[in-house]
Amino acid sequence: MKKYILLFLCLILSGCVNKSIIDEVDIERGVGYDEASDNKIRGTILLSKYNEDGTTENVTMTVVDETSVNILSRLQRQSDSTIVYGSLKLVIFSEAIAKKDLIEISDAFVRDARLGSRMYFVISEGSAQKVLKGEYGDHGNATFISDALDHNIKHGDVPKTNLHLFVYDYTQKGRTAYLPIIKKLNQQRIDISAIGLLDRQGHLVDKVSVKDMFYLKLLVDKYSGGSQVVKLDGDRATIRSIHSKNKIKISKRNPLEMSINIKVEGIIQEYRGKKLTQKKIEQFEKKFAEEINQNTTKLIKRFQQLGIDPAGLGHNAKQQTRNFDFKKWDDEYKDLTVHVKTDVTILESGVVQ
Amino acid sequence: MGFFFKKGNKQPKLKEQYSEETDTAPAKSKDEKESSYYNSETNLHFSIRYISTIVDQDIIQKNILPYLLDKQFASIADVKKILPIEDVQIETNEALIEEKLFNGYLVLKVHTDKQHVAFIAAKEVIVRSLSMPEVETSVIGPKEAFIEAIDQNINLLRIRLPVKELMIEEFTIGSVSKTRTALMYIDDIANMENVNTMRQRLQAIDFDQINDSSYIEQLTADNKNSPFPQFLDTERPDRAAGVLVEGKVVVLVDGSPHALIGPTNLVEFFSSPEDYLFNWITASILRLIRLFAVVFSILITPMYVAVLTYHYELIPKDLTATLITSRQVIPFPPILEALILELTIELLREAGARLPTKIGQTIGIVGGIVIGTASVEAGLTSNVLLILVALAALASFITPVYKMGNAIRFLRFPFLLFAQLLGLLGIVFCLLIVITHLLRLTSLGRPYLEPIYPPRWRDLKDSFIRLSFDKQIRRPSYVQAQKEIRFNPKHQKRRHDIEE
Repeated sequence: MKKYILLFLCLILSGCVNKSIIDEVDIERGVGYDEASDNKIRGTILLSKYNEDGTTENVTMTVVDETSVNILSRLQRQSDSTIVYGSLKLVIFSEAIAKKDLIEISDAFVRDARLGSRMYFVISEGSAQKVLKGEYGDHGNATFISDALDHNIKHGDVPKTNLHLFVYDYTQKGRTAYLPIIKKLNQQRIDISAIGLLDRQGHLVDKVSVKDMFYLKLLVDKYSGGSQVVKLDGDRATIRSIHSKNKIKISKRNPLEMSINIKVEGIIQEYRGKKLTQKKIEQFEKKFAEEINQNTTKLIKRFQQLGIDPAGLGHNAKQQTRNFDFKKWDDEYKDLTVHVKTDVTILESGVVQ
Repeated sequence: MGFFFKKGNKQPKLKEQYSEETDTAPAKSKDEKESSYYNSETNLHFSIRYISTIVDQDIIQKNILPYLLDKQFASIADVKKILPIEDVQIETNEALIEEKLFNGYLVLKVHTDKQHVAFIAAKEVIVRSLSMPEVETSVIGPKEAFIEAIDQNINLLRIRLPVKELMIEEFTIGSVSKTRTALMYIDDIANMENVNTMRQRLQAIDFDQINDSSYIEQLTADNKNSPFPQFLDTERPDRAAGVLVEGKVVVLVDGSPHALIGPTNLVEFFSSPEDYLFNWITASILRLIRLFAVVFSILITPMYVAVLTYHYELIPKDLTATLITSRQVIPFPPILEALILELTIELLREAGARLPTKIGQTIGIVGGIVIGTASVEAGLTSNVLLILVALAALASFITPVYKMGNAIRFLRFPFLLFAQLLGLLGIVFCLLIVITHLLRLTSLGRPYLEPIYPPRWRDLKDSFIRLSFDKQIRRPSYVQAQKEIRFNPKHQKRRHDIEE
């Protein structure tokens, strides 16, 4: 009998489950936040409308309110069908917001179980609304921007980022977060222009330009396919299919010294110069390693001055030390000696007949 | 109640009338013949009685009457000597007359000897010739199938298993139909517990009519309320012989071209006799495809309904556009759309199965092309769902055992309902119910979900996959065969490829 009562309850209680039939809802794909007056924020949501001929139409709606949740409920009132946000793919913060309220706004995204943790947080140069109002690609703006990030993370110089990693970096002691910065070039194109570095409070404090993005990624992530140009006495080699790993270790205690071992493997794809001999390749390897050492050391110095730690030196030090004292670490970090050691291996240099 | 009976009092009266009639003049069927003869040589009057429709007139005219009339037929005991027929019984028991009469015997009475009767076998057995299997067709392998005559079917099995250990026990089941039912097993291989269970269940059947082995199947099932068949049925002698050697029990029923096999398990329903004819790699892949098809067939439409109704987040971003545009003009929610299409497919299948073959083909075309395309064009169903439902229907046809195919066919409707009510949670809920049911189910008292639960690694070699024959050293463990080892690999002769 109990069984049947349970079954019956299932039937009647199911009326309480919210339905969201796919063609009767508006699916929110992206959202952007800009600064507004009176401490309020201007939220812009991007909906994808699918036309019968297979094209995707970008629809944006903008409203000014105090919190991101309020913004959505106000927009609901303006829309003819329910706006659902479960497949949100992209959140854009304008630079001004990133310097101020980014963490407060992102809180709602972190808490909601409906949202996937693999969505992208990005910072926009200029207004986020403007970026969302473009017409990029055929499948909607949010898809375009997230796809652009996807393949640049996989094969390019953008270090891996998503909601999950962002929250991890931000909340983990001894680490600080970073987010990619995008720029609208024109109505049809965007560019990933830099990587924004956030401090421990979650405020944007610095940007790593495209030039240094390669070295940043070596420090904070691993490579599975990038390319870089190395110059040596007027000869030039393009190294492709770069795979890299890094290992951060405490090399000496009292006073603390840390070392970062970077292992890089790659293939010479293009070479301009005299004959490429084995000796020459070795020279290239050395030069490339030197370049990496110099640039990464420079970056780390910069981090130390700003008091940020995207590479997670503090986190790594903690893992290797019993009873780690973060207060002491904070004092030590600024003057910490960090050795970068790079090991470059050129696997092949192509076939020459 | 009593009030009505007193007033009308009709029922007892009817009974009286009926019994009176039968007592005074026993009704005689038109084909019941009785005639008297006279043997002039021995001066003997005798009469024969028979049912003309089940007796071979040829035998009477050629093998019985000439001998009785011309030979030295002095007393009833002589019948055995003078007739060239083996099955002649002389009995004193009058009660046997009726039974023998309706089993195709001639009843011979001699006027001088009122005590004895002779029964002479003259049954005419109308047997259709062997034909190709129609339900379990195969491209390669044996092409013979069981027919309706039980003796013929036993003969087919005997030819395949010419050993003295092949035991046959016969029962007569059905108070009216008196159906001959044979229980077959191999004496030193089959577990006697299985044989005893089956024998007990057969003896316990109390039903008036057994028209087919399916009756036996339903009457002896472990759980009569389960949608899953608990005995494997087959029309192929090769399959029946194969399972006998595995130590299972086979039941043949007169008048049914299908043999029952028990104990069985769920996975066996998805194995086809052809699996043993291909090499083991091909066979294993085919089995895996079949099992995948079954899961696909049950779950794909409910998944469609659940995802489109509740879980838009799960749709990959590249697929969203396709799904939304295909549904844009459809006025129904996904559940209605799915139900309409599923019911249409079920209607087509039913219509196709009931109609003669030639019209059936037309129905297939009408259903497939006309209804499918038209309903999409009319905006009643989305073309994505049409593809899914058609695929699901196709996948459900892949089950080699028809009865299991039917069980699977209807299993998806509760899934659909729960998908609509609770989304993916509902599907999981429904799956739990089905899995719990399967866990509790037994076939002849042996677990139905074996080798998944209870886990028997050894039995996996002939379940989801089929390993090569030289790996099939033991018989399936759930059968609990007396002789577990099929062959001893050490005794195998070494292969000599080249004579040296």
